[in-house]
Amino acid sequence: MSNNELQRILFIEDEADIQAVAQVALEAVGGFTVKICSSGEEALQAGEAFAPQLILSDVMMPGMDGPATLLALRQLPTLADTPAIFMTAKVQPQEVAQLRTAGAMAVIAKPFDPMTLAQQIKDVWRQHHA
Amino acid sequence: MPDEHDIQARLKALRETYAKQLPDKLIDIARQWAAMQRQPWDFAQAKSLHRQVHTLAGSAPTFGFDTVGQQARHAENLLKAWNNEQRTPGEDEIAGLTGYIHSLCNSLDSNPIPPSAPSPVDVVSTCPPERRLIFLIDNDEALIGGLPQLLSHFDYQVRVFRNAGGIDEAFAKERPAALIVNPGLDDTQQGGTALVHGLKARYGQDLPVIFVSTRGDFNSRLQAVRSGGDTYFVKPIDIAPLVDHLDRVTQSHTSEAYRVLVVEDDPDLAAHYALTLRQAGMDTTILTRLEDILTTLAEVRPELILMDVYMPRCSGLELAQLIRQQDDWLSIPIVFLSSEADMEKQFNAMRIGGDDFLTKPIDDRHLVASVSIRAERARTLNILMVKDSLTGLLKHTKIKEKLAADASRASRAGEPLVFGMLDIDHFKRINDRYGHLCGDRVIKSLARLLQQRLRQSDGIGRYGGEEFAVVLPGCSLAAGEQVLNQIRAGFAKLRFRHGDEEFSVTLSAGIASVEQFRDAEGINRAADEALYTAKRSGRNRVKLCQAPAATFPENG
Repeated sequence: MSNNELQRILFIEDEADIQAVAQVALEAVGGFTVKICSSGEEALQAGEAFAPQLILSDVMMPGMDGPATLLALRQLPTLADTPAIFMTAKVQPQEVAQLRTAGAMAVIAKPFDPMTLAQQIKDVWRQHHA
Repeated sequence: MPDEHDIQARLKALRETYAKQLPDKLIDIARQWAAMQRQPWDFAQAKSLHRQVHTLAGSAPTFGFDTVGQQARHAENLLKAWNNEQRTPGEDEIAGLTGYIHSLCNSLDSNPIPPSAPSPVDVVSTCPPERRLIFLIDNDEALIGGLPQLLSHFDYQVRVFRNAGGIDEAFAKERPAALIVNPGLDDTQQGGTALVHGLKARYGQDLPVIFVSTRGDFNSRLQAVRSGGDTYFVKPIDIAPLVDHLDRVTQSHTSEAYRVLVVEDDPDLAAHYALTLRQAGMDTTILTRLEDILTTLAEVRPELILMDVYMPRCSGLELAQLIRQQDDWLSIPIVFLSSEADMEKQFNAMRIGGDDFLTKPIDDRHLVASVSIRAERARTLNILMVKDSLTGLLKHTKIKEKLAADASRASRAGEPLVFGMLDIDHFKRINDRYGHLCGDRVIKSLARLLQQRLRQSDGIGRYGGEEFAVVLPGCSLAAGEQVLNQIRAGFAKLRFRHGDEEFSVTLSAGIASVEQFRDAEGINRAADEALYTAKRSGRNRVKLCQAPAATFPENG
């Protein structure tokens, strides 16, 4: 990673409501550039072209779930090492551990606060690059 | 970067949109759960329900619905355990989940959200239906004895007042959706009109009032007009036009959101347009892959397309031509967006099939106004084109299109869907005996009953003369049977009048589900066969297609 400033986030989430609120939280509040994908399949189509610095994905989705999507994205050469964060309403410790094993550097709990989500991500990003 | 105030405004708008959709989501969950309990435990359905409550647990608190989120979390934990262990829950556990889902629905009451339209959930779940309250002010025992019962079939709840006493107290408790008043109350021929005059002064001129009288003379009618009556019926009352009128005056003004398809290669711009339109209450879909245009059109059924002119793979003008080559989409408004300020090129775009040309960067209010005005006009025209003129239901080809679109969506998402065909029994005899006008009234009554009992997302069509078709997305075969049986029973209870003669009519129905057949044609044929079976086995009944569930490949 040549540049440490987080700018481009690939956001994978099937719920339109959450997409909309996260868009405000990430773009307007956080100042990020966000590409929203409604499914794992869509992320696979659009992911490489967008060249994200971070993958932010929902866990439970119809079709490919979050871990399966991440696994598939990791097969793409340019996304093989892109850091990922899962967002989920499941927050029990063993599930968080499972998600980390699936390749996520962090798990952010839903519901999230749209005013602080961006900061939360920036914190994780900074720790990761520290 | 937008300022804090702007962000808060956007979040508030998102919250409001979410709040509007939440009742339907909850009802859907309650309905699915009710349907699941009526049949052997189905892991696929349990999985789908799990996903929905999980989503709710995550999203509701984000939008300020903490109680909903908590109850959803409880429900999720139960479903998760059952699904993970691949086991059928016991009676106590089922009761536990029913409790959480019940609280889910009830938790809405504590949040200030407008109630949603009546839906089939009222017959299969714990959520009470929304019944519109009517005050009937009359001392005519014959009317008082029959009308409340009749109107209840159309989801109206009637409170009877034999005179003016107690009405103000009743108003203080709950404002009715409309009044039905005898102008000749107290035998003065004016007691009722005077009462209405006072009530309107106290509770607002917009209170709908229907006068019912034995007198049909000019002076009585004029009196009624002057006191603010919306309409005037002469006894004996024919229920169909009365309900027709009640429906109209008590109709809530919330109409379905405009469906807009955004075709724009720049994802940021696409998201921005989508958000702007969504904040204005529209339903937006972003087309990400141009190749998917035809399938997306079929699924989303947009009422307007907002399209960028310059896109890398093919130009907006080419895409517009491609869309216009399809008969179905000949008339859809296409609004072009471009930074092109050259008039010649704009005219060219419009000749090819663009209805408007907006120049980027476009002001948000301008975008919303352009899109909503065109969508509104298109919808009005569309209603004339796709709706049956007698019943206001979808025409034959349109209900088949809805079935095809909804069935493909449902089978891909692994969600249930039921298709039903209904036919009025011995309709020819009614026409022969009472005439076509009377037959039309029977058809309209059934149409209205269907509209009252089904949800907005359900499709209702007039299939042929006395034949109807319904598409019920998210509904299992068992729940569909129950819904149609309720409609069948409600229809059989309606009394029609011709001259001095009263009669009632029955219907037969056949239903099939997407779980039995993969494609719309198969479902259609099976429902038709089930209808035939219902007819052959004595009419006035609902028959299910007996085919086994087809096996679907697991999603993804």
